Amino acid sequence: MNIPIDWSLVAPAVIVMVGALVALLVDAFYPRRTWLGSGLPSTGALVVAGVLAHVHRDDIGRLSFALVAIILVGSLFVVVASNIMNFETAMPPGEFHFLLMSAAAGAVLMVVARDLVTLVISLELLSLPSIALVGLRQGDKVAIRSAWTFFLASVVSTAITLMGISLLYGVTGSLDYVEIREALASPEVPQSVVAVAVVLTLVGLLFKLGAVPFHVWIPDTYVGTSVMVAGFLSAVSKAAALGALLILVNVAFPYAYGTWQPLLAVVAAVTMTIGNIGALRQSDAIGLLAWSSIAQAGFLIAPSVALLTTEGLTAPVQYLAVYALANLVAFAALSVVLRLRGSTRIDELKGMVRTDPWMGIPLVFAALTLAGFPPAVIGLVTKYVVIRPVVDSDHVWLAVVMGVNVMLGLAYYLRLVVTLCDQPDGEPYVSPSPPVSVRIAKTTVLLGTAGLIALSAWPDLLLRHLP
Amino acid sequence: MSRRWIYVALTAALATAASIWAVPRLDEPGWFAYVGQGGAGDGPPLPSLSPDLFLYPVSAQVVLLAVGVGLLVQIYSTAYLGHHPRYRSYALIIILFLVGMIAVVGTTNLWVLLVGWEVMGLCSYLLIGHEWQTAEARAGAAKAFLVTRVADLGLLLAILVIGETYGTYDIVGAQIASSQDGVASSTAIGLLVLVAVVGKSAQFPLQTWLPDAMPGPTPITALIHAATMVAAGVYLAARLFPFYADSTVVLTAMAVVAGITMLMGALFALVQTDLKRALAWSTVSQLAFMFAAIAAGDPEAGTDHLISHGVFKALLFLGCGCLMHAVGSSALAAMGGLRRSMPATFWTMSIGFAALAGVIPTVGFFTKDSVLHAIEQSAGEDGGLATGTTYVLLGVALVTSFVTAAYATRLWLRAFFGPVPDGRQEHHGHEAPRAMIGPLVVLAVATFALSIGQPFHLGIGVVGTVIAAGGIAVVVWSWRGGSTLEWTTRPLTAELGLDRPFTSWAPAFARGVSRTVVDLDRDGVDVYPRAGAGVAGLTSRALELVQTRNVQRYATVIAVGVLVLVVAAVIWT
Repeated sequence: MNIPIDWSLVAPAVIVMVGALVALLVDAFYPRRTWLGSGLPSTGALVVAGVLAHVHRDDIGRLSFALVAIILVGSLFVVVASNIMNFETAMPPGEFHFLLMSAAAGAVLMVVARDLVTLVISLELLSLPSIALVGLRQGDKVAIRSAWTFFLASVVSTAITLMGISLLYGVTGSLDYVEIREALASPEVPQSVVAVAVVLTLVGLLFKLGAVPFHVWIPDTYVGTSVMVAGFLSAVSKAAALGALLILVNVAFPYAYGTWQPLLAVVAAVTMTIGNIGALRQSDAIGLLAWSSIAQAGFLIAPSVALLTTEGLTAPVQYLAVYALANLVAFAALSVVLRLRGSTRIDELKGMVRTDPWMGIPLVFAALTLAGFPPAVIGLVTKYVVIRPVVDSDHVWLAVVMGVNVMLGLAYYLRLVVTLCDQPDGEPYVSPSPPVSVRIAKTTVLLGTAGLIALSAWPDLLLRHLP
Repeated sequence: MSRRWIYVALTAALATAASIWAVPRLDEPGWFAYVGQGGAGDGPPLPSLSPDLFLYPVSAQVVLLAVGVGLLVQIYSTAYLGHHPRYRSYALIIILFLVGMIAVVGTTNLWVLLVGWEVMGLCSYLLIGHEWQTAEARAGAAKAFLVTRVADLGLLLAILVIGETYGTYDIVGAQIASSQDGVASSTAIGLLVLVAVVGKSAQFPLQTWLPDAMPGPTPITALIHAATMVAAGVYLAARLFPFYADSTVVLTAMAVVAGITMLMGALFALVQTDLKRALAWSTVSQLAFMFAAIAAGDPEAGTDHLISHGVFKALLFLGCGCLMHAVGSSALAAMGGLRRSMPATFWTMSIGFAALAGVIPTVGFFTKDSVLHAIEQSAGEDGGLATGTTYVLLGVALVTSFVTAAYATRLWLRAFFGPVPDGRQEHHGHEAPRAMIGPLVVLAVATFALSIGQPFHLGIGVVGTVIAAGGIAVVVWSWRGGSTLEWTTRPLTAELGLDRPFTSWAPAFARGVSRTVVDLDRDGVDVYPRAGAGVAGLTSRALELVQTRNVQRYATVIAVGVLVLVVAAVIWT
């Protein structure tokens, strides 16, 4: 079969991939294996890809461009903040950047894909390097175990998705989104087969998003791997999965809404509830963020019940942008904390706002944004943005579940905030004389926090321009 | 010493920035004129906190008044309070207060206005309670905070109603919408605004907090409780006037409140034995004058009197601070005979008292004249007020002018003339330091300078002057006759017992209600969240058990999940 290549769509992903190769080659042929040696080409490639995407934004489309922008900015954040791992001998810089950039290229491709083959290939391009990234730290048994869990869960889900795609091909005779939509419009297609096919196809994307019941890998993987890799999975990987889900359902499956609408509503409700309840008893900040990112996935999916309206399509993207930024700030700040103090247990973070305000306040602000609690106004605004289409499409029960979950979320986010603002128990251990690379990571955190504060002051900045 | 001037420099920088912004706006024509920006959408939009700064000529005047008095107060405080151990927090709170005031006056976004309004309330609370070691200051601060909270509730509801009615939270946008689609919900908006400003500007029946705010440092009283924050209530009423201008109910209610408050405040001021408290009641009475002008349909006269009153009342309070500095007390009995030992304070305060009494050619005369003229005008034509109200209001205003002139003269005579009280020989009155006299002189000059270009209304002006002269003459005559001017009329001295609802009834009522609510909450309501939390905790523990790091079990969960979803999808479809 002949799939034409539209270079204006693929260009950003190609540039990111070229950046990945350059990063690997620099590492291979430059005798002193330094972090910046591979980090700089990666940064450059991401910036160039962003510029290219902006130039071709009309070809890419508003929605896809917004998603590509979120993915590229998120990857850039991860690349820069990953400087925290500089001088860690167990972390090979060339491989790290190569894998990270390959995954980013896969993520970009996922949201511009308009046929199922491209979708599956880009899904794999995102998954396989991510799995390797999780287990990259040499000699770290926990990391390898996490990667193994991630791998098996990933394989099972991809297999299920492929089964769904083959069923779809069998029913409609096409892999192109638009042709699938037209084929599904005719009343002659067998409805129950279509229902099974749609559900199975969506499973792979729901798995990447970490929706219940495909969430089991998330806590183990996030806790087991390097903090910034967890940040990447929680922000960039989720952005790609959500984007692909929105576009696939909106373009290919509008006539099967009887199947996916109740499915997504139930999955969203269960996901946010399970995620929040799981987060309640976490004693480690990373574990807390892992479970909370499951809950946030529920909030991301929920407005999809109104996916065929403009509001239902833009609301998740706006929520995603704020969630991704806040989560990356939190993960980057925790990676700095882990580097300097050697632990991210919540007890150990006590009083950080007083002892280390430059990392404590960003953490507090990120937690408040995720909770949707003033003064992080933008968190509250985006919560409102995702609840509105749900109410408008008469899914009142789901809106009630969302409201209850906002309260459940407050319980643990505010507990974290209170701990951070508490009086410290004596002087914490802080590793002396941190290297420059730590300062780079700290700067990233502060820039991200400044972005969140600016958005809180002018929410219109986000709501008007995205997507 | 030099460290104290850092805060003055900071305030000066703020004042300069505000002036550069505000001064060019003074010349623009129009009074809260419409500008072509912002439009109304469908339904209220998301509340935003974008600053949306925009100044009208009147707002520019108020901004300049606030930063000007703020700067003078900051200079004054270096001498008055410079050795206080908590001087730093004091000076910083003044700056925060000024920022809040600029936010209220300089924005068209109602939510930013609300934030500034709350910031001012908070700063007021902190500064009244600056001497928190005294029980009096703590009680006064708590009272001011709680009473103004009622006002804040009114403002919040008013904002929500405006948003619902006009589809925007932007004042200018709402004005455009009201000019296109007509004014709506004016009675609701107006009454809510009235609640807001009655609390903030200490009008009847919420007047009680302002006199009790006097334990705060005197410069703060000059800045917050005379010149700016309480005046912000008047400003808000004038700013939102177009939204309720056509409602007779609101305007009449405002006129009644203003009439009661102005006479009551003036009478209370007449019998006070404490200079600072007398000035506080005078402020209450003068604010009511401004509301009377707004109720009469001429908010411009109200805001003019706001500016003029802000200047001369700040002068009087700062002068009162000089006297307290000299004799160590604000009681009138401790003063007397200070004319010779404190010439600069005497002359500047004389100008202030003259402006308060409405003596020509101080600015106080002209703006009071405008207010009276506004009331008289609305009495002539068919104004927004209910029939007959205007005549009563005019009568009350004239009586108040008489009483005002009388108490101003009384305070002036008792403070500066008469015998030196016994026991003041050891630290007999001495002139205040230059950093305190300087601001007084500036304000005294402004009291004259601002009268340039003020309108003059012949008929009512003559009547007003005669009445003021009468008030002055009666007091001077009785002083000449040997009276000590110690007027103690029992019900007036006790302030008519108007404080009682706040000091005994409200706490008793609140205590009863809160006890019931606590019981209900504990036994009736808390059961559900506690049970919910218990269930959530148990589920959380169960989830931890599932999370075994056992990959086979994970794969099983995924497979079962898919199976359930597929079966469900097939059954549903």
